[in-house]
Amino acid sequence: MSTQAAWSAYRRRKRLLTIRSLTHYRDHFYGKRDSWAHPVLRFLLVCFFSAVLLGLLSKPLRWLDPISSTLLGASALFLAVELADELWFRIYASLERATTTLGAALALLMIAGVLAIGLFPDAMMPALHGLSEDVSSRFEAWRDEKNAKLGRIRKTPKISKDPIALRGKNWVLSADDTHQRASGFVEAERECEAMGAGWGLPKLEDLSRLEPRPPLTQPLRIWLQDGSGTQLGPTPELTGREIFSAKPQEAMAFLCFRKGENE
Amino acid sequence: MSNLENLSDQELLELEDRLLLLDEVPSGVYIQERRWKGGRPLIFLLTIPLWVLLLKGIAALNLNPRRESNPLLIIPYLGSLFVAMLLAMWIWKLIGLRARTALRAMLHYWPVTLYLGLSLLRFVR
Repeated sequence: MSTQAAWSAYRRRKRLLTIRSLTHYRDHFYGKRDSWAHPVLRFLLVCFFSAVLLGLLSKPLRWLDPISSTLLGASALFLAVELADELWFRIYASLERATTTLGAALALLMIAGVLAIGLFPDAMMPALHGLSEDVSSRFEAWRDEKNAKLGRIRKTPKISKDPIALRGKNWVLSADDTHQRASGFVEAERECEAMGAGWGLPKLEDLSRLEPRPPLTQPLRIWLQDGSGTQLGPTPELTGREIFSAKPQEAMAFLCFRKGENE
Repeated sequence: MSNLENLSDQELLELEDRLLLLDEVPSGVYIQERRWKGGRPLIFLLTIPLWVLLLKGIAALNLNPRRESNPLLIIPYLGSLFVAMLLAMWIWKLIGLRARTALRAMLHYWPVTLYLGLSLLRFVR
């Protein structure tokens, strides 16, 4: 077989495979589509083969004159696409087979599950109930943890870098060198009480007695003594306008307040 | 599909083009979500300059002489995008089998196209 004929046969085979892959979903699963993963996988294959072939040819590409090296590079990349296509068609065929087999196995498993529940409800139901409770409690714990983590990131607006500005005559705002620091309720309460006698988390009415006012540029959510949260703003009008309930593990900034001697 | 083997090379080429066109140019009144198969990316690329041209045309009509932000202006804005997409698809259908096949091949062998393009740019400079 001449090279020309072999090339024609190769192109024809490739075209047939393309047509089969194009008609597969139309014929069997009309309305459904190939996954988005397919073009991504194909793209990665092309990148992989291109990198390998160009890597192998890197030395000759440098030695040759510009025109020859361009032609060699282009041929290598052409070959890379062809190799990726060839491998892709094989993967696609296996995926088709696997989808069919997996679908049948999943259907059998579901039928077996329904039968088991129907035949042995006393044994299966408590197990299922326990499983669902376990899953939901784990999910809630995971969600709370993620929310607290997100809260710590989100609720840390930058405030003055001057450490003196984070401390007033009768208050201290939780902060490190650059950012306001967020904590859970118990941690905040403990830290304020550790500052000495008279120190603690503020009540709502204490927020109007801060001396001087904290130099904030934007509102900040802080803990109150009763475990709820409120807003500490740059102005008295924006401070303590609303009280909202908060879970103890939520992360908020905290302001420790020292009560006056006559209180 | 059993008689696919009996088709000639030209017939296979035409069949492939027809099948790809089904994905590239939706036939229904709604736009189907079909992946970026065949020449889809080129149709989208063609849509952008057409949309810009249409928007320039609309701006020349001076629909909003008082320069107020009128929410109803979203209609010609999105309408022109829709028309640009239809125009791009129409052009794609119009250019013929050979041009479509060549453009699809350019897209399919994108590493080669990119490499040759960059090499050409280097030679020109």
